[in-house]
Amino acid sequence: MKSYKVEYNWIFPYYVFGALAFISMTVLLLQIRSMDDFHFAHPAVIASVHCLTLGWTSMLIFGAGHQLIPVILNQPLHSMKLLKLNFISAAIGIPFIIAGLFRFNFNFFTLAGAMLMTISAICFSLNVFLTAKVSKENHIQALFLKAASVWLIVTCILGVLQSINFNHFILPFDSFRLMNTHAHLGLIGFISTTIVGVSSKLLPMFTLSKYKNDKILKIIFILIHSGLVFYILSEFADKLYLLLSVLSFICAFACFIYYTLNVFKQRLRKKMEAPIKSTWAYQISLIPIVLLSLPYLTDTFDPNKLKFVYGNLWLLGAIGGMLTGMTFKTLPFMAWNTKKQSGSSILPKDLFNQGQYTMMSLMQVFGVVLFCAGILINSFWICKTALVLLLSSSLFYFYLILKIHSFTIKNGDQSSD
Amino acid sequence: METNHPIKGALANSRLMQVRDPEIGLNIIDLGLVYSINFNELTKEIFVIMTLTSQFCPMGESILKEVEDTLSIGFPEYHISVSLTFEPVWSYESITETGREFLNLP
Repeated sequence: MKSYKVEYNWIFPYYVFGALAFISMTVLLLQIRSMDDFHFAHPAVIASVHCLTLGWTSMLIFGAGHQLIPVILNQPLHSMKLLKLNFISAAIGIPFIIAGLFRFNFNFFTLAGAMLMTISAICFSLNVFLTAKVSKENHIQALFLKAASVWLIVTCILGVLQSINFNHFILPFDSFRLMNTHAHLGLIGFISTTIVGVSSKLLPMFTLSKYKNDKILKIIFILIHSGLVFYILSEFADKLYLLLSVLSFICAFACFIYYTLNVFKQRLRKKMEAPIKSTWAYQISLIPIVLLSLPYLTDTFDPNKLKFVYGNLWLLGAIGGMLTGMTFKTLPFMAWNTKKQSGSSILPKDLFNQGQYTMMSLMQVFGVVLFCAGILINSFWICKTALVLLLSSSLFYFYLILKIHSFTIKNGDQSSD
Repeated sequence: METNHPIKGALANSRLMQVRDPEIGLNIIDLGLVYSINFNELTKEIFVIMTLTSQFCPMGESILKEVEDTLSIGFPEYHISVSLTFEPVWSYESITETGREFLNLP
């Protein structure tokens, strides 16, 4: 059979980088000294958001993606060289971007970081497109992956333009005007599109679900992309487009929740592992996001607080939760594949303690909920407590990743089953 | 599961019960992944034809390798040849009664 294995030694560093970015993100948020500073224009917040989106999310999507592209496209990965360049350029570029954002200093290094990140995005996209080109399979998931990688490049280019525009006015408007578009293209265009595409393939596979519905996935794809186009139009044309955009996203998420509920209902595997449970549980975070979008539009509540809570439910809640589930569903398999010994019945799930995973995951959920509650009721100490909880969760996350990596399987070792 | 040698086939079958699908945790025999185990006594070869739960299973290579290793230990004098097929495609109906109990299936 064709080998779909991608060198584990090059995949593991993505996970380490992601874990360090998760820790850095909480450390950066802990630098904030007053309640008034919890908004998306504060340098520490912008830097922490990029730690999460670039350092943690993108690196994990790259790492797991390079392993999953061959599985989804039924074709070996086009190039290991592109993978290596993707990692090296992102690993060098991201710290420069974060340092520049934290100091709010858009110097040569920040720009170089943004350009390196764009190179990294191009390498990833090339690997997706060139692998898909050879593949005889024409799955809807390939379309999601291709579209997501294009949105990633667009997001990175907007980041570069913003970075240049802070010092040299090359755009007819200020850089902050592009911030919302840059953020939504990254969050929805790249991250959410990837999550929907990949999980629509993997969730039925992991749960042994008979449910298959490409039609609804096509509808989701169209809704997400029409929503993105309406969003871009709303930034530069009539605000009515914002309503159309939000409606498209709400319908897309409703369809995705409908899809996953059907996968869940028709699954044959009743007993589920903690990472799969948490992936489902985090989808519940999407419901408050959808509900909060409506008052955000009508300005019924304090829009700045709602905007911050909306962003955090997206980033820390929905995406952070998915990332945690994804890490402990993919990394143990990749590690197991290289450590497996004949005569041992150890399974990937035995490479980490499920109880410890649940504890880490609960700390993360409580941290996010407490943080959002603290913002809404304007309590600095609740926010600080929540951030300490999130920092503990991130350290625990890193520890579990290292445990998986250092696990040794000996001949004759038995599974916990 | 088909075999041209009932006694050795049963032995191979019992050995392959040690090989588990890493995702599901159930052995490949009760999962219904092994379609046939045939023996050629002249050339001392064992031919295994099996499938995977998904054509895109990232663990496929590992499972095949483990089938080969497990049979090599049980039948050291034989050369093992494992082939993969997706015709017929694996379905949930292929799971044995024991497998269904393990997975809590109705």
